[in-house]
Amino acid sequence: MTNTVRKGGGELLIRGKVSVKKYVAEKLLFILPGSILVVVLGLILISSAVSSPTNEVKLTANAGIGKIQLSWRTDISGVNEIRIYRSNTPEVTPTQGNYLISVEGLNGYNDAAVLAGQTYYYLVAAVLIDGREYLSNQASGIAFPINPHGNYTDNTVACALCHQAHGGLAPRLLADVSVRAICYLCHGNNGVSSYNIQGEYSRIASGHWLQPDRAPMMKCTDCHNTHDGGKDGGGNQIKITKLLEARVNGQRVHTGGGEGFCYSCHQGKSNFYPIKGRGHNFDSLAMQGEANISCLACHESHAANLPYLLRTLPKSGAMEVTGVNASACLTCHQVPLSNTRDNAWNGAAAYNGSGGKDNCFVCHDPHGTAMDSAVPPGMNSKYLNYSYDVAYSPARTAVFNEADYNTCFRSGCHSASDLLGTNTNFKDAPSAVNLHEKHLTALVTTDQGNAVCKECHRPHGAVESENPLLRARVGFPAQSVTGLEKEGVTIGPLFSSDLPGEGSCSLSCHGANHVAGEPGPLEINSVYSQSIP
Amino acid sequence: MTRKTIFWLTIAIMLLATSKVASAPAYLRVIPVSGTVIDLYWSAMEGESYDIWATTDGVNWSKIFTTGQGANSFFVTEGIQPYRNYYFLVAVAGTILSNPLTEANSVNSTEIGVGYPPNQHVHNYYLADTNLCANCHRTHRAQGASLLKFPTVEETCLTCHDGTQSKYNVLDGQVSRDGTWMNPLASSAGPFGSLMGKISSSRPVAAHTIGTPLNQAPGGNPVGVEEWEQRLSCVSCHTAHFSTNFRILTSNTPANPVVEVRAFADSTGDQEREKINYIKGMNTLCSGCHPDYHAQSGAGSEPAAGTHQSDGLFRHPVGVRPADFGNGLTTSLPLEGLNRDNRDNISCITCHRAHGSTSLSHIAEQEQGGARQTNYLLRKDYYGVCQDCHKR
Repeated sequence: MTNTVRKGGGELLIRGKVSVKKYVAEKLLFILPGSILVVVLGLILISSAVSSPTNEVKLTANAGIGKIQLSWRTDISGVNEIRIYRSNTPEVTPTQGNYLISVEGLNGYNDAAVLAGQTYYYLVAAVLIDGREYLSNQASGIAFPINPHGNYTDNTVACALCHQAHGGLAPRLLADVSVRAICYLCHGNNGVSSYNIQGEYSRIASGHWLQPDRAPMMKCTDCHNTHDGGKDGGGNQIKITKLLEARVNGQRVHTGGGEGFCYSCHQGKSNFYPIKGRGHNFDSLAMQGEANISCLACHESHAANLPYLLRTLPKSGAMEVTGVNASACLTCHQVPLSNTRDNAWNGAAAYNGSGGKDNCFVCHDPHGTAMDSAVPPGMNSKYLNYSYDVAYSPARTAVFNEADYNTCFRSGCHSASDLLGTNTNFKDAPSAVNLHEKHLTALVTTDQGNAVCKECHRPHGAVESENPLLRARVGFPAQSVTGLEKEGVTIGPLFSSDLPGEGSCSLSCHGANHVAGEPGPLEINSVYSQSIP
Repeated sequence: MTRKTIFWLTIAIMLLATSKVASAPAYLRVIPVSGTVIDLYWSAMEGESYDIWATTDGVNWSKIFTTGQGANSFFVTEGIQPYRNYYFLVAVAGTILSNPLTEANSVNSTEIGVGYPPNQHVHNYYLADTNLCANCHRTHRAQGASLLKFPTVEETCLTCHDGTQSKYNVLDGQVSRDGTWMNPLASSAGPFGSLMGKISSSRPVAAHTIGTPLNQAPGGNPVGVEEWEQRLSCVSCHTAHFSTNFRILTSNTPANPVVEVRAFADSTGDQEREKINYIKGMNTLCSGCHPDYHAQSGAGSEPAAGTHQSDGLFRHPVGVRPADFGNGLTTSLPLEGLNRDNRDNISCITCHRAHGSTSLSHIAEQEQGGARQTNYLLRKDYYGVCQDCHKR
């Protein structure tokens, strides 16, 4: 069959055979108007004039961080100097306006007077001793941004700092064998960044380890988003403080600073940490304020010479922490806090149940404890691990319960049985009354209220003004206890002890005046001795 | 060998190559006869009616006519404008309901044919009395192999593709918009620049280097294999004569012996650059010489693996959807597929141009005797192609 159909205005035309058309070559030709030809020829002539007349000087331009690296090669002999020309627009010409600098005896030049992201066009001229000049080809270059993290332009060159599209050596098309290796290119010992993170990892006691031989091994990108926050719908940069972005099992769980960043992994530390503005959660404690992470007051972020990533030189080096001991705390707690009656730890040994000493963590956890959760807002937490009743009051009616003093009554420290009954060494010299038992349990019946440990002891150590020989951590930090005045004269010191196991108090306590020697009608004897049988 | 003999030999070869069932139409020829008329011819079967499908962009298809039984031609006289690409497909009536790209197959339709009125396709659809052979060949005074008019394939191709005759000016990387060069479209493939002694005003930073042995192509390449030792020429990627592939792209490459490329060049708009809707096959074509770079899904996170990817490197995958990365990426770069959005696939051509690129670059690549600037034929300045998707 050779029927053919022509469609035209809905009408079908049946034809008997194919009509072979003649196709002339002229239909295929595009006639180039003469005027355009002239223009094209003109462009060719112009381009010939600005290109290298000899092609004997070959110029290349490489991106550098904050600079463009030029290099040239020529086999021409007798080159006296190289003149470098630069322009912001293509087709740079060797004119005075484009002249940048001349160099001698070099085959390269780093142009640092550039704006990152701006493309520059270069031409060099090899000038011979006899004055002849040989122009190079034109080369263009762009400088890597000084900060390569985020806020990229549409024509960014920064991708190549870290990635290779077809020759990556690690996942994410990284141009080196690991995330760490990539980051160290800039943040290493020889990197251009002011943040030498590789240097921080020379500390070996503890760390968020990046090294494959340390466990658990992490990646920089577990904590940082190297691309920053991207851009919003309006194309504006979303800046993430310190590029902080926590990822757990590859999932983003926190972006930005604040303690929440650390809690992404250290979840348990958030349970009792003080609310913002209180205790250890004062903004001023954050050593790197930009990140607003108060954890950094005590801890390094990458690696440390002390366990637990503790800082060796917190407070900008004002103190040196020597170990996981009191020195870590005393960096700040050198003196009593202004709004407490506690004295700073005086250096006296504090033993824990395992024989350790000098360690504030025997009693405290600086991250907060369940005990602190009961402290009303506005009052100071003591970060105590265990119960410690300090509700002293002349009208205290609470019955003694040793469970209220677990900070004191713990295995290896003190026990209630050591204080109560016949085991105590703290006895009234004349009557052999157990004075611990009396103060803790019996005073409630005298309308003076039972005492608490802290009314007669300073757990951080005695102070000389109250207890010249610093015996038995005796001290009187509570407001309920004052020095005894007699006839307008303060009788002191508050506690005297010439020999271990003996002593006397001169106090006004709960309405009772304690006086050694010969008590008057309103005074009670305060002499004690452990030698009483 | 006479022109007529060449023609009938071509017909015979194509008929043998297209192994169709009895009812399938075959060998569609698209013959523009003027700026507004295109004739279609195909091999028909007695008693079979056919639907004529047409499109200008490969996305929007229209069934423009249903023939009577046994018809083997159709003259399209309405809706045709000069200097636009028109694509046609002839299918057994009623076998394609809405989209030939998904419903056409070897048993119900012809291949897709293309016409660019008023010009006749020089490389396809020869008629029995064609005089087109003489454009490239000389029977007795040939200077090159295959009776070419000129000593080399490149010189022969550039007799038309240098901006003088064909609508494709490969030197400048331009496509004629209206039959003149007054306001050409930029081609998707980009410019080669000056080539084979022909001067171009375009100065690509990098282009496919004609004459280089194929086994020097980045990304694999066995040595000692004859087909890999051939030198890159126009016919490494294009076939001079009949091809059902887009842009008469070759169907046989060193690494991939079967290449099927489907795409549509849309020149109907007033855009500055020729818009090509890629449907499939570009990765297979490119990896015909760059096989290592044909990394599959997940290759960015796992070392590339496979016959040509045993070096343990990580490569950006192709054949994956931007929609599937992270929270979903979007891009203005060309993807490959039917959806026309980020559910289509990344291909080599998403980031690279096929011929050459004038994109700015900071990359200096070492070569013998020194360094040279290159941009890896990227579509955008520096690493703009990365940003276009990842938007960091």
